[in-house]
Parts: sequence; structure tokens; C-alpha cells
Amino acid sequence: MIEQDPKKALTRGVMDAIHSGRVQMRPRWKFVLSGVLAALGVAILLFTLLFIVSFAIFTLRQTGALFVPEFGMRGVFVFFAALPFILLALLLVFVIVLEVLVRRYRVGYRTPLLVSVLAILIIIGLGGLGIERTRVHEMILREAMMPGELPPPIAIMYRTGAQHIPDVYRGTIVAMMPGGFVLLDENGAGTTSVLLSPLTQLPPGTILQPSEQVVVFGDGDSTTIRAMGIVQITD
Amino acid sequence: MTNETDEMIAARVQNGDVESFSALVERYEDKLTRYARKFLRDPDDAKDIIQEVFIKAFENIQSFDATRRFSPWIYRIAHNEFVNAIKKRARGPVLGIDFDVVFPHLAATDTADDTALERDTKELLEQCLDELEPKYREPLVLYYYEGVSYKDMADILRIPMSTVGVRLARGKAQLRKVAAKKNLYD
Repeated sequence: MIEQDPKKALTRGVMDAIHSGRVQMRPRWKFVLSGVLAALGVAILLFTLLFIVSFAIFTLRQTGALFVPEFGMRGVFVFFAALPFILLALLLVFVIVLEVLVRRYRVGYRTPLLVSVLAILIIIGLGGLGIERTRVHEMILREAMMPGELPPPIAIMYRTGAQHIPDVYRGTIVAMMPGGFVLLDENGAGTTSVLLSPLTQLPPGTILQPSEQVVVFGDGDSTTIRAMGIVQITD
Repeated sequence: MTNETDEMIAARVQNGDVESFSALVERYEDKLTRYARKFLRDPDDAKDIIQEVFIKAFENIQSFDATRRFSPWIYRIAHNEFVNAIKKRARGPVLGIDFDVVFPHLAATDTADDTALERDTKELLEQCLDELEPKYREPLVLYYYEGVSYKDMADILRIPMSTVGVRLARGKAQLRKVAAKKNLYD
């Protein structure tokens, strides 16, 4: 029999498909699970991003690279060369994935892409900075320096992150000497003589005396550094 | 049942009253058919796609949050099906990257028309729909034929509300160009 009313035909077509079992309602738990997994994904990604940012800042602070841009173009160049590019690439990928996940939610798709990406960057930037200041990475690094304390990948990551970079020396002043001071390497690896000159840049308020922690920027070898700039680390 | 809201009916379907789904089909059939015909511009395709929309709605009814409005939810399913149909027809991506969604717009650049202007725009639309880009055709159809608000349109198309205004404004600008080309202005 031919269905006369096309309106009824569509309703009947849909209801027949439902009654015959060809079309089935997906259970609620599947949607709940998918929602929970998505929320979990957002949380894990946020946590990972906070870790990446805080670790990147920590490595820059640990190597002293964070302090050298104030010594002019060469300092800026050294800073950029010291940036952990693998971490930054990972950060970029995770921010994109997070943005895709966030756009599932009303607050995500109702916000212009640029604004939500900026919001994510501000949250992870400030959050990462906060986590870095808790010194949790310092504690992990100390454990990483002791063999067998941490799983090898984590230990290697921290040791690599804290490795010395060219022209930047971080350490503690152990003694003053004519025309400079003696610097004990941050990791206690040895001492180096730091030579000051009238061209050495010292930010206002810098006090050079034994037990002060400093970052020295300059040319050097294993015994002597000709300081172009010195920053006192106050924290 | 006629006094019941869509959300109440949807909640009953969620609780196992499958028969009530026919009421939702009846309520939305005309609206979605009109939306499909205007947006897809292919009446032959529309019937099958609409049936598919209702089937998808039934399959996914448990994902509907009955504390929210049903209308944007089912229109969202329809939008997805229609976009897929256009993609299939074009054999490639149609809507691409949309920079309207990337950058913030201070305010919606489109404002509501007065009744006379709305009638004129609707008449022009009727004659020019075929020549508008799908990206602009869809918001114009939703706004002028379906009476969908900016807020609901943002939920259906999953774009910022300010972008809805931008698309409507650009859609109308494109409409004016097409109408001028066709000498439709007096």
C-alpha cells in the first residue's frame, strides 16, 4: 500500500526502523563515559602542559640562561639558543590537542579561537611559573643526580636539562680575589676564577661577596671566565 | 501530549517511552525539511537526509541534556548531516578553515532587520540562495526562515556569537551582490 501523506510516511519510516531494531538507542553510560574521558583528557593535558612549562622555566633558571637576556643582543641570542625546543614543540602539539578537546564544550566553541588559545597560554604560563617557584623540580633534580633514585628517563631528562650551556656559568662565590672572585660550580664540579673588567655589566644593587649565588655571562675555559655580565640570584 | 514541551517528550523517550519519539519527529519534520531544502538546495536529497537526522537523534537521545533546549540540539544534528551531504556532493572539504572563528569581534556586526527589510531580504534570499556560499547560506536560512536566535545559532554551528553576526552580515553583503548581478533591485 502506498503511503499517501508524505509527512506520516517519514514518521512511519523512522518509527518502523526503531521498532524493527535496525536503529537502537545508545545507552547513556556510553555518553557519560565519553564525557568523563574527555574531561580526564583535558585534565591530563593541562597537567602535562603545566609540567612542561614549569620544567622549561626551571631548566632556563638552572642553566642561568633565564638571566642573560639583560646583557644585550649576545645575551638574547644565548637565551634563545638555550630554549628547550623539543619541549616547546611538545607544548605546541598539546595546546592544539587541548584546544580541540575544549571546543567540545560550550565555553570553548563560544570563545574565538585566538582568545581561547591565549587563555590556555596564560593559564599554563602563570601556572607553570607558580609550580616552578615551589622548587619541586629542584628536589627532583637532586634525586636525579643520585644514581638509581629515579627511573632512568626522568633522571636523564633532569640531568640534561641542568647541563651547562656555553658562555653561562651559574654558581656560588667562595672567595674574593684581586680583580674578581672564585666561583664554585652549581653542581659542585669545581672552581673557576672570574675576572671582572670595567666593561663587566653589574645590575644596580649587585653585591659580590662569598656565599652569594650568581650567574656569570662571559667567555671562559675550565680555569678562567672573563665576565661580560654578572647577575646575583636572590631567591 | 500537545502541551508538553519538546524537552519533556525527549525526557520520556530517554526513560524508555520510545513511542513518544514520533511526536518529536512530527514537531520537527517540517522545520528540518525546510532547513534542508533551503540549505542543501536539493529536494530529492532532503527526505533521506531528514530521515537520517531523526535516526541519529534517536540513537543519541541519551546524550541530550533535558535541562537544556531540545531545538538547538536537533538542529545541530541536522547541521552535521547537511554539511556531510554537501561534502559528499563536493567530494572534498567545503567549509575549510574559517578565520571568522579565529579572531575576536568586538560585537556582532549585524543587527536585526525591521519587518519590511526582513521581508525584502527573505524575497531576495529566495531568488539568490543557490549562489551563496554554504558558509553564509546556512546562517541566513536559520535566521530568516527558521527564526533561530543568535544564541541558538552559536550552539548549532558551534561558533562564537559574534561570529554569527559577522556571518549574517557577510551573507547579506554577498546576497546584495548576487541580487545586483541578477538585476533584482528596482
